Amino acid sequence: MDVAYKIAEFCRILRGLGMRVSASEMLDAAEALLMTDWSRPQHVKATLQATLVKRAIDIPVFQQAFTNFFVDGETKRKYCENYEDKHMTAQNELQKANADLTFQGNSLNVADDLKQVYMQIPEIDQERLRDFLHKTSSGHLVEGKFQPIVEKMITGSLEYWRRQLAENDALFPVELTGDEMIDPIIQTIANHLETSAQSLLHKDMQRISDHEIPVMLKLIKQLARMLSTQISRRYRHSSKNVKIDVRKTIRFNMRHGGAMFNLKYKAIEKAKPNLLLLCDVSGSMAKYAGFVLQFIYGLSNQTYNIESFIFAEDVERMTSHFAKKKSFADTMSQIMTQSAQWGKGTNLRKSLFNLKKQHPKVIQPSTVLVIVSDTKTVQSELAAKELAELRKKIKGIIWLNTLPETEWPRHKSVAYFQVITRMAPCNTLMDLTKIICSEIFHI
Amino acid sequence: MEMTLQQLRQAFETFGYITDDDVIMTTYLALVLQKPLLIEGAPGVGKTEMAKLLSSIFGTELIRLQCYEGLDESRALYEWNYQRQLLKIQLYKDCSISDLEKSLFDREYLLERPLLKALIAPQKVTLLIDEIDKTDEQFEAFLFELLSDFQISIPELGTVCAQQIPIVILTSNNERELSDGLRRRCIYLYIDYPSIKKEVAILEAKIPGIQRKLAREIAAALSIIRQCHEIDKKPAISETLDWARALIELSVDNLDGQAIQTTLGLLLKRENDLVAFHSQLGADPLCKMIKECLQKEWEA
Repeated sequence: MDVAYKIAEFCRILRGLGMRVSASEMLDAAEALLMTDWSRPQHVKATLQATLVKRAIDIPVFQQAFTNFFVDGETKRKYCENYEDKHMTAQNELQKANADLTFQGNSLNVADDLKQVYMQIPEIDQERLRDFLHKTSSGHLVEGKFQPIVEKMITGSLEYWRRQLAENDALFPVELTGDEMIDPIIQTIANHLETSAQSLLHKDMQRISDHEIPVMLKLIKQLARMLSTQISRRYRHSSKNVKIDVRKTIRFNMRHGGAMFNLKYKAIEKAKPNLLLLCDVSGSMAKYAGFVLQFIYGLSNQTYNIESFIFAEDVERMTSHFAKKKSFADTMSQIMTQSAQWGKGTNLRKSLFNLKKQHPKVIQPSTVLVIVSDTKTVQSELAAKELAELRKKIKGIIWLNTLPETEWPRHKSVAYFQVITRMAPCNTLMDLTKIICSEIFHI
Repeated sequence: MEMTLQQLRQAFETFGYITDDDVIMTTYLALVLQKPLLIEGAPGVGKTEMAKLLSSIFGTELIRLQCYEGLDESRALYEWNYQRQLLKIQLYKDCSISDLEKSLFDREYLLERPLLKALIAPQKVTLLIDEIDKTDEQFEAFLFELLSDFQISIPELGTVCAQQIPIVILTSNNERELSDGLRRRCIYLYIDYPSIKKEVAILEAKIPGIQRKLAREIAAALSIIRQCHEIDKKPAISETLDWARALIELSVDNLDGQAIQTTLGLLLKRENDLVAFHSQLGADPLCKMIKECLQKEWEA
């Protein structure tokens, strides 16, 4: 019974760390442990790994989890104490933030995570925010109905600070269970994983440091290859699949006494879609653009029928650059030097309009449009309307959003575009991996 | 057919498959739990060899299904011998229809493909489903019943169950993401490139008579080349063995820049990789790095 409980607990921890472990795998693990020599920890580890881990990418997570889970009681007590201390500190900080962030005596409606950010910023900047709130609260003719405006301003300021503070963070995302015995262990494992190579998969691409770039680009290239294989396998019209449907042929030709006058064929496979890639290279996307272009470069090299465009204030065709089969570094260098759009503002509406006007041939019923952008564009509502018009003429639109998913509710532009497109987060390598595993391209 | 972990380990050594204890343990679990073994890893690390090895160890017939794009059940599982059926229809035109119809779907008109062969074999067999990632999602879904229950449904014949549970090995180069449904039905094994020590052991096992010094230098060279990010297609164990054999043929006792330069084509098979090797490593600097690497190994 004890062992069964331990296995279940371990599986819950693995799930909290983002691994997919089902009941079936848990049962396999239990069955396999019955045949394992428990006096040999290495065998127990190998047994659990063989039954619970189903992807190479999860192996380092499993190994760290095993190291931190199968420890003595004293160590586990320390995990719990550390966790409780942190929890208490966070609660105290939240209370202080609630007390500071007020407007005319009322607490501001600011998300708890942003209140945590407030407590982390330097004291001098906290003082500035308090001053601002105090002066605004006691301003001439300032009423309570101005509170939403003040909340927005404070939220915007704290968002900026969140990005600044997270510059050196390599967060390993976890899903806590609410169990006070399990959550400390999950958090301890995540802390260890943050310093490992595993954290690169979960790091926001714009925060990748220079020495990590080569590894990052390599991983993106592999992911692009996997995705392009998936797309082309799904849609490639293989000559091997042109087959006579013998049953239909026989049935149909019974009227001729069995002589095969008319051959019937099996249904033709779906036609290959044309991929139209539209990558945002504006200032806000500057740090992502390099990685995203590597992704497009990887896709272009493996899959046919891809038209590649970049846009910022206007749209530019890049297909010919990728078709030249140069190295990625040369291609990037050429694009950045020759492009008039790199690092400018974002005007998706104008870009889409000009795309339709200047390149009508890329807009076809079999076209799937893939947009890589953070949705921050001028006139976002009008851009959404333009996109909706375009949507009627093509097969579908996929939006790979480089904004972290937690920030989506705070941006109206996301809501506008989400209605018209299939939107998926795309700011970490893990997001890209999930996109490949998902059915988002099954249009 | 029953074998302990120790016996399996011994058998691996006897047949010259040098690998980590974890790999043997995982294989053992797949055998005792009678579950398919899904092996992932870069090309050339020994995934297909594992199936051949198990077939040799247990003295079973190896039935191989080489997967490719467009593979479907008519080529993987079964197909009716339509020509014979049509001939029969023509020959027995005047016979009673119900008798004719029944006999048209007898076993004698069934062309057994590898999966069905493995299921109906009277003795235990080893079924190798090689490079499953080359097929599509529909084919994967088709395999679910076979992998979980070792049975298959044929509309005209009913459910065909395995007479003996086969040893099932699936290999994948991870070119495409396999579905969760497939993964959860298998025991998972990831085979990475070997360490220097392991690679030396593999060289000595597969190429008897190779000098230990040369084997160590080759293993160190491969380890360094594999760490180079710019090289896309990293040389695998099969390339290591080819390279070692070539160097012996050329009577090379010590690796030097000249020997590496002349035989580089055996390791790196793409133009981009050759360019990357010359720009990032180079034959002579590689020799220096080999010496440093072996020095560190020795000190460790």
